[in-house]
Amino acid sequence: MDEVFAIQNTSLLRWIILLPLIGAILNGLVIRSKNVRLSGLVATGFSAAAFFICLSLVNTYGLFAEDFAQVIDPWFTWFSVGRIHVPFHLEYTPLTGIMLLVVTGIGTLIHIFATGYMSEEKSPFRFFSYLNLFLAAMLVLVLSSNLVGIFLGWEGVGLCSYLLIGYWYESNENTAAGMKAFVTNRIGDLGFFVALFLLAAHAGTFQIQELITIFATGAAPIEGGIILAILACLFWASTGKSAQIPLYVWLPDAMAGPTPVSALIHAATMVTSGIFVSVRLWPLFASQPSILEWILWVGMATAWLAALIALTQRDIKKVLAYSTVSQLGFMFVALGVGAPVAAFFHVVTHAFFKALLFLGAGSVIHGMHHDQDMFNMGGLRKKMPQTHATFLIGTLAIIGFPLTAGFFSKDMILAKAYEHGPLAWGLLLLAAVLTAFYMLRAYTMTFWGEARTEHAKHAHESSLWMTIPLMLLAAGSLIVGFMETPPIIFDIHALQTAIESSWYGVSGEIAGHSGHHLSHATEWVLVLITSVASLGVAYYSYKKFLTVTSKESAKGFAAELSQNKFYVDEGYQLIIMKPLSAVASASWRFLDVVVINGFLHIVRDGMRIGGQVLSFAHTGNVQTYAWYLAAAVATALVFVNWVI
Amino acid sequence: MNLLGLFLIPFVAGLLLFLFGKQTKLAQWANLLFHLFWGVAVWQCWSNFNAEQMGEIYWSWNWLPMLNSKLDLGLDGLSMPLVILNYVLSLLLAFYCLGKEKLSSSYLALFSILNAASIGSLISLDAFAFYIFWEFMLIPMYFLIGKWGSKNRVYAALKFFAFTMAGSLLMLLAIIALSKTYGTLSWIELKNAGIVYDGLWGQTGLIFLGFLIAFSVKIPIWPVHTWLPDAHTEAPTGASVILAGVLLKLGVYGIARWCLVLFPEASQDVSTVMMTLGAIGIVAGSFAAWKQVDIKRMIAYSSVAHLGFMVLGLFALNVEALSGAMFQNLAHGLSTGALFLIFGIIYDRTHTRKVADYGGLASKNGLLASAFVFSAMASIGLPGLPGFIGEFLILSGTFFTNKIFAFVGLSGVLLGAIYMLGMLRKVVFGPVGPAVEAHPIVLEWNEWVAIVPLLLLMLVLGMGPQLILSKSMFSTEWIMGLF
Amino acid sequence: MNFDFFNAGVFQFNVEQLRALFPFLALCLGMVFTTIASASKFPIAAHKLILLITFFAFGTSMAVGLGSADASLFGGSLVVDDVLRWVAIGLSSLAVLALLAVYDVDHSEWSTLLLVSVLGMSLLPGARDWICFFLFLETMAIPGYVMAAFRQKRDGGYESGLKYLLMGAFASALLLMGSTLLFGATGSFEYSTISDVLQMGIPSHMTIAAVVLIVVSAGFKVAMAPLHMWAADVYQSAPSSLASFMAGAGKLAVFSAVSVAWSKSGFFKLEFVPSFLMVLGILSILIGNLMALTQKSLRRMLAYSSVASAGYVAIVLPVGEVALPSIFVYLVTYGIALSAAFAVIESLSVKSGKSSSSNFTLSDLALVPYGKAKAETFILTLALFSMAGIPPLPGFLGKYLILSDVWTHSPVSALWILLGSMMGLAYYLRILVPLYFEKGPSNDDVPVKRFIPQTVMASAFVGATGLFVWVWIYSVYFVSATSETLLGTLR
Repeated sequence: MDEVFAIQNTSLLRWIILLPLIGAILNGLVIRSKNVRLSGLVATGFSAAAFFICLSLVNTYGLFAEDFAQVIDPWFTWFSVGRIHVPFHLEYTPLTGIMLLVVTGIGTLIHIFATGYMSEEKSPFRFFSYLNLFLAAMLVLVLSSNLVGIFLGWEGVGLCSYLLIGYWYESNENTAAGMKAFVTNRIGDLGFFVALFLLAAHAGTFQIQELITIFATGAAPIEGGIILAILACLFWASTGKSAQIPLYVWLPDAMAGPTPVSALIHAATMVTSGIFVSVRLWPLFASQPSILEWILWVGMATAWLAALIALTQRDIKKVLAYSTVSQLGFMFVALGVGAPVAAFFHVVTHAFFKALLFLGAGSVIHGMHHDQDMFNMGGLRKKMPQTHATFLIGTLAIIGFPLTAGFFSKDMILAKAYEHGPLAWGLLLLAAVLTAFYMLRAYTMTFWGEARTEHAKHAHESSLWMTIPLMLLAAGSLIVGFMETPPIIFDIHALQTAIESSWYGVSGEIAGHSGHHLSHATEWVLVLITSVASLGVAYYSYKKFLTVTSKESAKGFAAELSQNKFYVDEGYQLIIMKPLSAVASASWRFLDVVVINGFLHIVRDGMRIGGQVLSFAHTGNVQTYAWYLAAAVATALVFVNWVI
Repeated sequence: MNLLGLFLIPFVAGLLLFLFGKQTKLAQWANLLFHLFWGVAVWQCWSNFNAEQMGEIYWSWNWLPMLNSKLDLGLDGLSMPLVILNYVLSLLLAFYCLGKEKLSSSYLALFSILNAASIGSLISLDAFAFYIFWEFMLIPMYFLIGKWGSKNRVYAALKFFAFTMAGSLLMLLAIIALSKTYGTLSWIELKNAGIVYDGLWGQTGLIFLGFLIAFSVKIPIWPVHTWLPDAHTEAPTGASVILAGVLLKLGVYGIARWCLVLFPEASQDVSTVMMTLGAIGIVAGSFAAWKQVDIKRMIAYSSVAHLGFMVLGLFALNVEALSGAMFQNLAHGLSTGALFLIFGIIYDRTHTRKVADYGGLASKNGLLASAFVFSAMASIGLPGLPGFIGEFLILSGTFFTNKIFAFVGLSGVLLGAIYMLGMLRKVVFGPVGPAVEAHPIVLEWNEWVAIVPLLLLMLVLGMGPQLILSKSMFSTEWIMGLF
Repeated sequence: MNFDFFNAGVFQFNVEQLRALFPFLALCLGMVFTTIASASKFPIAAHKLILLITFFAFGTSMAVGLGSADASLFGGSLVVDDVLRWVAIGLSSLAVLALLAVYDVDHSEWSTLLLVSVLGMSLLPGARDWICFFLFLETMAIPGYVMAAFRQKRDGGYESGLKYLLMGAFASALLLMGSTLLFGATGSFEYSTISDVLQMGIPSHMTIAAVVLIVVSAGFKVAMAPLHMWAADVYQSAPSSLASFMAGAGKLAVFSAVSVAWSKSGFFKLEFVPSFLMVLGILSILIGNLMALTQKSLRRMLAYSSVASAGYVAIVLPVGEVALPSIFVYLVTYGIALSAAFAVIESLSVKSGKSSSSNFTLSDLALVPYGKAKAETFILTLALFSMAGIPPLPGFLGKYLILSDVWTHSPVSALWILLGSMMGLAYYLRILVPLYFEKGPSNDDVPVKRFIPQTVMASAFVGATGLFVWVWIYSVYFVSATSETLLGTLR
């Protein structure tokens, strides 16, 4: 595989982006059809086309190739001034390949689902054109060969998420949620900006390949401090996009958007881009162990906080949202303990089962006539068998039931955490247990027990448009785990080879890291502890919530705290937004209105008054004038003769 | 290339348009026709434009020998983009005007003359000639605001006139001093005259300050910005667009052309102060924009913030920042121009600027709403749209010189999102507001013709900024070569 | 002046001298004709025709003479040089504007008086000793007193005339006193001798007193604060054409003459004169502008604005004869703008149904029927922007030249001029507000439209075109020409 080969396939990469873009334009500007099937199919068609291109790419260049040559699509020069040179090049690596498949594949399924889900929409074309636009932006993020291009995708997906969260714009809550998402992400993006500035100032390039080959290997002399700062900034940006403490607050609100959006953007793809970028740049992170500690503990804290909040939520989508935040925490923990493969593995598996769970929830909500409160559900397993089955698979996957996708990825993370240290492992295990608890709670309250409301009684199974994607995703959640398995079971390491071959031959080994590996015995112990703990808690939670009544709500201080999300939003409002807004209005009212304009008006009125004062002297009486004249002469004479 | 035609055509067109009197419709179409003629001249300049030169004089007339002034006309990387911008905006406005009874022949005439003046000040490479065009811009603008503006227009017009005049009088003195000291007013000769810098309070320094203050008022730099919100708010749509799109830009252009080139050392000395003012402008402007209840006012204050960015770019004194500032000129001209135009079109129907009266525009006219959102996104510098290129280049250039200012500028990026999206929430989205409820918001074809090219241009410049950057590169590098 | 004056030789003119005198003869001829015309009750139009021809002859003959050698007459008491010629050309053009605008004067003598006054004005810059200066000044002034009183039937014509007369007499007395003191101090009336005497040694108190008196009297003639009191009253109630003429042309003549006289007799070498003028100038700028800001009556407003403009010139005077071109351009452009403005106000007041323009106020502008006075408003706009010194209107050129001369002399005092033109802006722009920005009464309730002579508008039009085209071209080449000839003569 050499440059020539890469060059003859250049046009292919750009089409992955262009197709969804064309779809978006067609739907949004050209067709503008009120017919959900038509616009849905158009959108699905284009995303499917992109998916197939990705497949052919993977087929051409392979995913798990041991020795991998770069594949570049040198499209055009975006802008180039002085020290800043930004080519708009697209790049294919095995890592990208996997992400491409996930994005376009799951994206297509969700398009199909949405075609059924959005059936009673006034303007579905808008929805689908946004959805395609999102795909295009996400694909730019995945494919771009440099960080500025990634930033283009990064903010592009932000825009689409903003538009889709506020898709039902008539209600102020939705638009508020959209704005919150955008602004919070912008706060994160400031970090990205600074990272780019630092790169421009000290590295002189934004090309990921150059960065890794030059700076991770220490080929070019550059102070570690700078790289550390760059990585810190990128991590800050990730806390925004990938919903970590302190910037996770937007993600739960983002559930205001239609459920397919939550599945695609806020579970499967966009929110994982922080981890994706970190894995692409991994050798840089590996060269700076000190940042990894931060990532570890931020991720851990997030995993815990979100899990605790998820325990008591009533809204099914809120539960899933917080579980997403918590799972993202897991991924960052994985990065923190120096296991990029585990992190990305969890990205992939999570993409499948979380998309599945969200779509399942969507199907439920659809059946419940858009009632999202779990306390009003119950007993849906008979009414919606396919949804129930698939949701169950998703639940099992996320709590890590043996041999499901979630089992492998989560187990890998835990193993790596154990290698890093028992404390990290222990905490993370408890977080996993919490996951099992709240997921079973959600599952049981939704599908078991008695139907608690009229809606629940008359709930109906959704159409094939929705159930088929569910089934496919369920299948995915069962099998994708087998691309990377621990030594004790099958011992497959496809993903690892894929990822490691995406670092341009630079090793991802952490500087000064003792590469000791766990013995098989320890591995077995860990696996057993994990499974037993989660399954036990899961069973307990199942029993506990089997007989829940709709009246029931949180009791006790801790529960209150958890149900009110630990008052983080209120805190932010009080500590940041309110003061800032006050300062803003003060600065405007005082500086502009009082000081500057005030001064001007004083001058203006001063001149008027001066004139009026003077005009008293102008009597129009000739005698007075004569006096003035005489006085003028006299003073002049005196002045000139005796003063000068 | 025929630079004379570049400003003579609109000038003559203006004089002719006066003659149409009550024939408003006819005048509007004639105005379009004039724009076609003018377009030929512009196209000619664009097609045989040579980016590899600076301050080359293509046409010269020794009109005032006793005042050391020649009417030297030239076109280089600094002026070319703005000439194009000026033409494009004016052409689109010509379309927008069609069928608007209120925009009579005299309105169009004044507009045309305003164009002549702004183009003239862009292409004249002689201080005296530059000043004449520069000042002349005030007269048509004064009438455009004062006669076709809204309720508080007289106050706004007077304020605009007084502010700008106060600034430019100092520039006049500076020009006189230049001509008395160096015996020439030609830009290129002055540059080669070997101006000796004797400290900021020495003669050269004061001359520099004269220029600087005049341009700062025009830009406007905080704290001499308070005329802008009034002028923007009260001015009729067209005037707001040109004000945001061209007139403010002339301040930035002027600093680059006259201050940086002729007085590099002085610029170095003031750079920190100016960057501080620019930074304050960004923050104070954004804060003010956040707190406005009047949509046009809010857009106006957003302009103050954006121009703060350009001030940073000008005085960071490196190629990246300067090119960024020059590019941001276009970006801001297009995005803010589009915002004013679109809102102006809405205002033509609803006749209210209060945010409270709006809401739910999206459910009334989806396409217009999308256009509005699009322009807003461009204005807050979303990547892929030109605002991002400008801000990115400016801020990274600033970052090279002084990290603090870059960070303050970033806060502007954030605040921009806050006030713009806040405005969108209340105007475009949300439940349908009274004003939107009461009036049908359906656009005429010519209004679409006015809006759409702006959006397309934004896309083109956002993804292909090299189109312009390559044109201005030589000039910016040439200027930075002086430092 | 010396006793050779009485030798017959003085009155024997050679050809050059005769040629130099010819234009004045044309004026005198005009006087004869107009006197006959008024004696034989000719209509006003006939007078205008005669004047038109006379001024044309006068102006062109002066223009023809440009560049020819200076002719010294009457034993050097009167020198006809290019400065005088240019001033004469400027004066005759201003005079044409004035006579076009004349329409409501009750007496036919105005034509003769106008000619006499112009004669005095155009001779003034040629004077080379203080006696001639005094004579010419009075020749210029006395007809002015009469003309100011012409509209005795209406709004205090008499009163203004009388004020003008009394104040004028006072000032003339001061001038006379000054020059006699000067004679006492230096033993001569001739500029050159006086200058030589002032050169040597510290000036005596007597000299100083003399100079002060002369400066004050001049300050009165050009209405510098605090000697400006009469101006407002006179400009308000004299016939507008004549008022604007006295304001514009009078200033032009006196200022150029004063600049010549004072620099030739070395006043500016006395260190107190520049500072004294500076004080007067600043006072005029401040008082004139502040007063103009508060005026209701437009004509009063313009009167005060002309006080301010006198201030600008006063600041540039100490630069000496070098500043003559700037002073000239500034005053010519200002005079034209002023006459145009006065003519427009006249016609607007008629259109809005006022009895006379004297008390035509800002608020009355709103009474002007909407869309019925397009030409007037347009011309007024040009005039005002020119007075405010906004390019491309020629008033800007005047301001620019004055500023650049002041800059070379004392940069700081240039700031006063800037301040002044800022303040001026305020009221010039305010006049436009009711005309353009407030919708006047709609066309159906138009007041009875009295007959308004075309000539008024004609003068306004001439003024407007003059402002727009003529002055630019003209003054550009004038500036080059005079400054060359001047610098030539000065070296």
